[in-house]
This record gives sequence, structure tokens and C-alpha cells, in this order.
Amino acid sequence: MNDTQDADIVIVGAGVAGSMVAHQLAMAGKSVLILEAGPRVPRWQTVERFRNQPDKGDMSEAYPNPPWAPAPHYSKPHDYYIQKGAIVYASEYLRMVGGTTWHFTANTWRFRPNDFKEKSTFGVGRDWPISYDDLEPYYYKAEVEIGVTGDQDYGSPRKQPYPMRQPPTPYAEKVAMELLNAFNPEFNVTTQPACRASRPYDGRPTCSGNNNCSPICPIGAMYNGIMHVEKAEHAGARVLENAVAYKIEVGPDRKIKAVHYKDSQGASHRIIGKYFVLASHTIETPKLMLISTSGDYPNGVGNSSGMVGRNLMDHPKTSVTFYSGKPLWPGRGPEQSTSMIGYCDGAFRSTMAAKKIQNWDLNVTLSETQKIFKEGKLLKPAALNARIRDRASRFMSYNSYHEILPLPTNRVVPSKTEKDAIGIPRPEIYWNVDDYVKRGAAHTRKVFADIVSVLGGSETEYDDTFGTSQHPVGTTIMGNDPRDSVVDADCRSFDHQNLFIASGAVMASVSTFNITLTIAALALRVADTLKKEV
Amino acid sequence: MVPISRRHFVGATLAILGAGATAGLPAQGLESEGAENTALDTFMAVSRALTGRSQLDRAVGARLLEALEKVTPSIAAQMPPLARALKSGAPNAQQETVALEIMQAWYVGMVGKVVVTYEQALAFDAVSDNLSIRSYVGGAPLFWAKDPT
Repeated sequence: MNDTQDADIVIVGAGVAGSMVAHQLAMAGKSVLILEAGPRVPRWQTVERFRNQPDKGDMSEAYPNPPWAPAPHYSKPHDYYIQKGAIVYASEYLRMVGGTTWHFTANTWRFRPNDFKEKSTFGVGRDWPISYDDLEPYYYKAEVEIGVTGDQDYGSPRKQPYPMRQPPTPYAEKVAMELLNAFNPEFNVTTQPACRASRPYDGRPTCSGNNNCSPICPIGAMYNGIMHVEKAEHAGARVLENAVAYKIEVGPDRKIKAVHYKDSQGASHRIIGKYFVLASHTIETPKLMLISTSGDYPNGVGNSSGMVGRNLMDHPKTSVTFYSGKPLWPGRGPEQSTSMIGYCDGAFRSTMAAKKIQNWDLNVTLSETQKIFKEGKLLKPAALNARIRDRASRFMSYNSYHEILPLPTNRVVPSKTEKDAIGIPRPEIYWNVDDYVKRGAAHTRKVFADIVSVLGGSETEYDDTFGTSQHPVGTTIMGNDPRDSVVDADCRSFDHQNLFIASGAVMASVSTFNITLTIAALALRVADTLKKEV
Repeated sequence: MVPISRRHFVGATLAILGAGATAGLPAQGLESEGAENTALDTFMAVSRALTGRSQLDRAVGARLLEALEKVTPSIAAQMPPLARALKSGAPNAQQETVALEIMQAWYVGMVGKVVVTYEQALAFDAVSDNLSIRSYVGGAPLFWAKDPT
């Protein structure tokens, strides 16, 4: 052991959740230390990496992992994960200062009231120990912290107006929205609440359509968690990067005493704290708890319920691509500005999964040009340019976020044999989708066919293999009963009074919506609890 | 590898040239007789003829040629007969394959997985009135409020 440091609050993970907690507590005068497994990478470096990568459709290549902080890449699901389930689980995340919001798509939805009470409303899944109304003030606080735009409540009742107006809807999505809603008003295609500045906000410039939200906004118009890391540091929080937590140490009174971490050389260090917040995303948080075994805690820290690592949820996705009848010119402006929300809620949820459907508004010029050259015909420049224009202006891509219910068999388990470069277990993933999801997906396929037809589509290709959507939740589930839940309604561990979890890992349902805003709201709520206690 | 230049692409700066409106490939790109006949010179002449452009970035060309030579070691030797065949208007099937490789290299800025240029990939010029290059500012803030042409 090399040294020991201490802080009032020790946070594991410098993503949006950890940094929001850190910022709130630092502003309240507490000493805060954040451990982050990965490096600190300046924005410009990621932009340059992106511009130099051959496949511009790969959303993770610009984020190489150092050997001490490995993380999954969507296109390489066996490099870090050990796949143990019936189907492959491929969701990726980032281990670096600022976390996964470096490369999300900026969509900041609230969940719906029914998403918090599926058991009592539909007889499926679980109820959260809190209601939408309990979280509503924190949703608004998170929207202000993050800088969110919107033009309606989208089915999630709100008390205050949005911090910023919704930016214009790009042509391709505007046309699709009008045509689809005219065809079937039940579709309810709307704009999408998002965190790309529509005016200068909090030091950020207005979105200027770099069309690159994922993997990296080159100008910082889009919110990234790094912004709260920096605010937390300005308020006095300390960040230790390249610090990989590997053991939570429990004291004699069942309170957490310390966290041990390894640096990039593999040397061990110990941090003592009064309160601890795990904010390491849905895979690493339970992994850390489960590898923190000892004589008193043979099943890991905080795991008297046996639920740590279980109930992994995500958004199983199916998709369709086609060429629209008329040129729509995707790729002008943000990467995603609308969603079909007609099937995000409803009585049907008692028998089949709800879903949100959206398209990628992505400039596909390079990949379409590659396809043209693959056809093997030498064209004169005028003909080639015309063909590029024709294909790039009509390529459309839709995908779907299906909810999946919390199934204890879907889980994360630290491997007993496979370790990473500094000797920490790699995660095994047990993952499958059930008939609840498959029934929902069968309906989605019909909706896709309607979308293709309405937009005059041809050369249609469906992908019905259930991919995942980088929205993992549930592995340290919230509940009222310590026998089947890991944390209580305050996101406090049932087993350790000074241990909190600020992460999607606490969510008791995944809904059909992107998860970042809910993660931020829950984190701000944890911060409020801690401010009263610490 | 770092791209050749760091010009930021704001607005359409390279309009599609009128080349190609006339039938056949423009001959002016091939008039390098008498000039120093290096492999790069011939490659640039062939590239100008194929792409229909009187100006192509020589530094990009040098690196594209280098990358092409790794895949097709004989490509430099194939340039002079290809240049003659393009001028006479009758490339054979094998020459068309090489020509296609060269066109692709200029249009996507890559040879295989080797990225030589991103912002100067010629494909983007074909759509530059409506689309910018991902990661570069597309226009004024909120510019997409105006519909594409």
C-alpha cells in the first residue's frame, strides 16, 4: 500500500452522476474526492481521433481504452465482456473523466409516470419505491444543470418551462414527422427533448450542426459530463484519474471505511471517507461490489439481497434501413431530433413491451460512396457525383428501444478466471430477451413497414436480431424491501448506512426513454440527501 | 496519421466543376509531356483526368499513391499506359480496375483502412450544397432551419 488519502465524500466514477453529486457537495463546502478508472482526454484529441478513423460509423473507435481501464466496444463484444447468455450483450460505455456522456446522442427525456409503477398499473415488472411526482423537481433541476430544450411535455407532466427553446427540426425529420402523423396519428412523432444548446448557455455555444453528437461534439454545444467534473473541481472537488477502484472496505460497524484503488502501474492506494457514492455505471458498479468479498461479506458488499448484478435491463433494439422515395437529405443539423412516442405507454404493456422509435439523421456520404465503389463500375465524375447525391440524400435508418422487464437471470457476474491487465475480474454477462419483448418487437416490425411505405422506401433491410442500445440499468435495484432490492428509496444501501449509489444501476425499470436525464435527476436527489447528513 | 491540412470547411468552397458536362474525359490533365515524368506526376495527371478536376492537392496525391503502392506494388508502373489509354478513350478491363482504385482513393480519402485525408475527400463536394462534413461546423448556428435545395 503506497498511501492513504481521505475525504468527507468519496465518489467512484467521474461521469454525469458522480460529477453532479461532487459538484453539489463541493458547493456545500464538503471535501470531495472522485476516483476515475480511466484517463482525462481533452475534447480536441477525441475530435482528431474521429477525423482519422476509417469507419466514421464506429461510435467508439475515437475512445481507446488504456489497459488498466478496459471497457466494451459495441463492435467487439467479446474483448472485455464474457458472453454467457443466450444472446450477445454489446452495450458499450466509457471509462474516462466525464464518462459516457462524452458520446451519447444528447437526448434527455423524462420517464413517464407509469414507468415508475408498472407492477401496480400493468401487473408486470416492479414498482419503483418513488413516484414520478417525487422525482419531478429533480428532473427540472437536472434540466437546468444540463441545459435541456423541448416544446411540449411529451407525456411527462412538468411544472416549469424548459430552460431553452427547442431548436428547428431538420428537413428530413420534419417531412417524416408530418407524413407519418398524417398516415396514423397514433404514431405521435414528436420533437425530442435534448441537451444541445439552442442559444448560448452556461458558457456553451449554440449548436451549429456538426452532425457528430455521437461520438463527439466538437464545439461543446451538446452537454457532456465533463462540464460538471470541471464545475466540481472549481468548487474544490478533487479528481484522481487512472485510479481503478477494486475493493470496498467495510468497517466494524458495517459502515464503509475505505475504497482501495490501483493506479496505472498496478500499485495500490487507500482512500478513507465518511460517505461513499458508487457512480460507475451499470456494469462496473455491481462488479466492484461483488469483488469486494471478505470473511464477513462472502457475497460482496451491499449484497444481502443477492440482487447485486441482477436485473440487468437495456433497450433491446431492432432496426430498418431503406432509401426514401424523395430526397430527404439526412445529416443536416443534430443527429436525432424526433421520436415516435405513440407506443411508449398504454394498456398493452400488460402483455407486451412498449417502445420508442427514432431515426438517425446522419450524413452518410462516405459510407454511401464506399457502397457505390463496391458496385465495381468506373463512372465519369458527373455520373458518380450524381449517384452520390442520390444515395446520400435518401438513405434512412430507423431503430427501436423496447423496454425489457427486470429479470433476475439477466445479470453481471465478475469472472473467477478472466482478469484484465491489472488483475481485476472481467465481467460475465448473462443476457436474453423474453416473449414480452418479442411480442413488442413483432408490432414494431409492422410499424417499420408502415414507415417505409409512407416514405416511399425501397431496398429495405430489416435487422431483427436484438442488439442493445447503450442504456444499461437495474443491477443495484431500488426498492422498499431489502430482501429483493439493493438500495432504498434514497438510493442508500440497505446494508451500509454510508453507502449510496448514483447510477442507472438503481433503476427499477428501463422505460422506453434514453436514461441520462433520469440518472442526473437521481444523482441530484442523492446529493440533497447527503447534504443533510454529511 | 494527421491529415494534410486543417482547413475548416465552412460553407461550400469547392463547387462541382463543369467537368463531365462534356462527353469523354478532359484531355488537359494529361498534357504533362515534356515535364519531369515522375511516377507522382503521372499519377496526378491520371487522377486529374479521372476526377475531371484541373486541380488536385499534390501532397494528398503523394500519400494516396504511397498507400496504393502498398496494396498494388506495380501501380506506379501501370500509370503511363493507363494515362495513354485514358487519352485514347479505350482502357481495358484491368486498367479500369486500377482506375476505379484511384477514383475511390480520391473520393473517400482512404486506401483500405489508411486514412490519408478526411476533409479533402472528393465525395463531399458532390453534396456540399446541402451537407457539410461530420465534425465540422455545418454553417451558422441552427442553420438547418432553412430547408435543403
